[in-house]
Amino acid sequence: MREHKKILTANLDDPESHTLKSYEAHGGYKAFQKALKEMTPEEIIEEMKKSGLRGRGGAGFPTGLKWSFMDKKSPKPKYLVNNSDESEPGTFKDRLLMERNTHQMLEGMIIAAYALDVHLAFVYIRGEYTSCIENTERAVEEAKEKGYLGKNILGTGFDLEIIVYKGAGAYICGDETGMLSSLEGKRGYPKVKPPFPAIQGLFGCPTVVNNTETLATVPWILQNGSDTYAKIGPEKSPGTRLFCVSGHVKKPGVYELEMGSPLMELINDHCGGMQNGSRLKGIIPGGPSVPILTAEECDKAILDFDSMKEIGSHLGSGGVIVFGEEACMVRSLLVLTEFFADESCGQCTPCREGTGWAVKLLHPFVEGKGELPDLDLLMDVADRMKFRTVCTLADAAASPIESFIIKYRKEFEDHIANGGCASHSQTQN
Amino acid sequence: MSFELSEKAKKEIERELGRYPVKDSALLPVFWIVHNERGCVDDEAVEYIAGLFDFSAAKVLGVLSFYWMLRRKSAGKYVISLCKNISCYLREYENILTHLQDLLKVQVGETTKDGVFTLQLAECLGSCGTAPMMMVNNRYYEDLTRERVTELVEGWRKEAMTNGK
Repeated sequence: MREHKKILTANLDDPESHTLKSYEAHGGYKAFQKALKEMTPEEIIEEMKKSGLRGRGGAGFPTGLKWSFMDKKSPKPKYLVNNSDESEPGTFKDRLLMERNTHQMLEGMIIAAYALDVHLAFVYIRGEYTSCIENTERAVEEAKEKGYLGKNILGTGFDLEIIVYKGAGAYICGDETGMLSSLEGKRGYPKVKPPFPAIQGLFGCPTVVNNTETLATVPWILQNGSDTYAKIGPEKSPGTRLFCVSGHVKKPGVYELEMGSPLMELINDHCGGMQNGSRLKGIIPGGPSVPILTAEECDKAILDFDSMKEIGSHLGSGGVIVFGEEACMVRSLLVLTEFFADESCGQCTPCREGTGWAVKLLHPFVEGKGELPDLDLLMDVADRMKFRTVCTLADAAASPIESFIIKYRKEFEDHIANGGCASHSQTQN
Repeated sequence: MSFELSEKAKKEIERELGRYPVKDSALLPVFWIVHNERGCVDDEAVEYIAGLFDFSAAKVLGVLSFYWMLRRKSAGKYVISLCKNISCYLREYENILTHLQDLLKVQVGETTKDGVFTLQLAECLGSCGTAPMMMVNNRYYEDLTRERVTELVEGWRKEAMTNGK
């Protein structure tokens, strides 16, 4: 098996890896000292830009550029929000970081806060992640006791408080402006952009929202240099990435691979291939918000932002969901569409109505009462909810509908012909 | 029944109310404090919380109803939330669901007559590599098999009998 550089998971074999003691024993909390004592905020932002790091939440926006948009001249307080509301189906990497590498994430937050002139930062963690919340709260206390958080950190005059904020169960709060609404004590409705959070975010103040994995990568870049980081993987998509593999593979789990690795290397070398000798039918490479790839497409798929785009999908959240031949694609699409319908915040009509109608249209196919014209109607519904809403949930919901029906159309037609799912093991309903 | 919280909960609420740049941010944390103590945020709690923030009850309810984890009515001592999303579907969570329904003799959304268990389905809980899985109250149980579920349910039944509901 090919060796991969480990930036986020190097020391996770240590059962105490979540403690400050273990993190420091493995060289942790050096980067932020270097940052606070030897670097200016501008220099840090420049390093981040040069590293080429792109956000690990899903969109892949360049982190240094995002930081440089922060309205520094604003007289208002500025905020940093660590987006730990990991809720994209098939995604469980930030959970691993919060449970096992908590301090690396916190160190990244301290560096980001210093670079962005932030003195109050939030970790917004989905309410379901109890162990992550407990670990992060404990880690914040440990860091406070050590003088890494609080007033006058390391005698540099820099103050920072970090508050762990517990969500209460809503996928849409993982959208950055939905998260800000939630933090403001409101329903988690996404907000119209512009204004972007960097200008007008939390409580109307300049705010940067970064994903957990993104922030956890920051200390390594400062410690090892942006040049070293930029050399890992493809030029425009550098670094390593946590891939969460689930579904019909032998060894599901989180794997850290260098960007630019073949998708099938992840599946065959790291996950041990398909379970029970099953044949691959398709893979969703980055959570259900991105189009599925057929087995043939998987063979040529490369795991980086731009290569994925070239073959018509996205790297997304890193949630790699593997479908073996035993999977019913009709039922799978219903499962995903029900999810988006449940999680639509209801603010925008195309999304609220579109996701609901898509579910109603899909049910008959699963029950063997589907009709051919309804396939076209489903495609039409998907098309009409895209690009017409405040946030990207509707676009995300359209993605499996379109890609499943286009790429697995025969299965839908077979469901009509056979009066339901004839050839698969999962035939309840 | 008049609405009364423990001294501990009142202290925690006091802390949350003064913790954020804008007081409104304390709403979700206050929901959690009440929820942890009473098992739900019922109508009395809504009135009480509205008073704390000088919000209308409607505004409080509007926020409360947005989040699936916050209940407005009390449920069983053990609330079983079985994940039904794609990774758990591929790993046949439906076998676990029928097994739970047989064991507990309830349908999804119902509470057992003795008030010990509530069974519900949940969207992705971020435990996809260890599917099928369920969250019971606030703990995760992963890599579920029928045998393991039987063991767990029996254990909770015993515990409920010895400790009372």
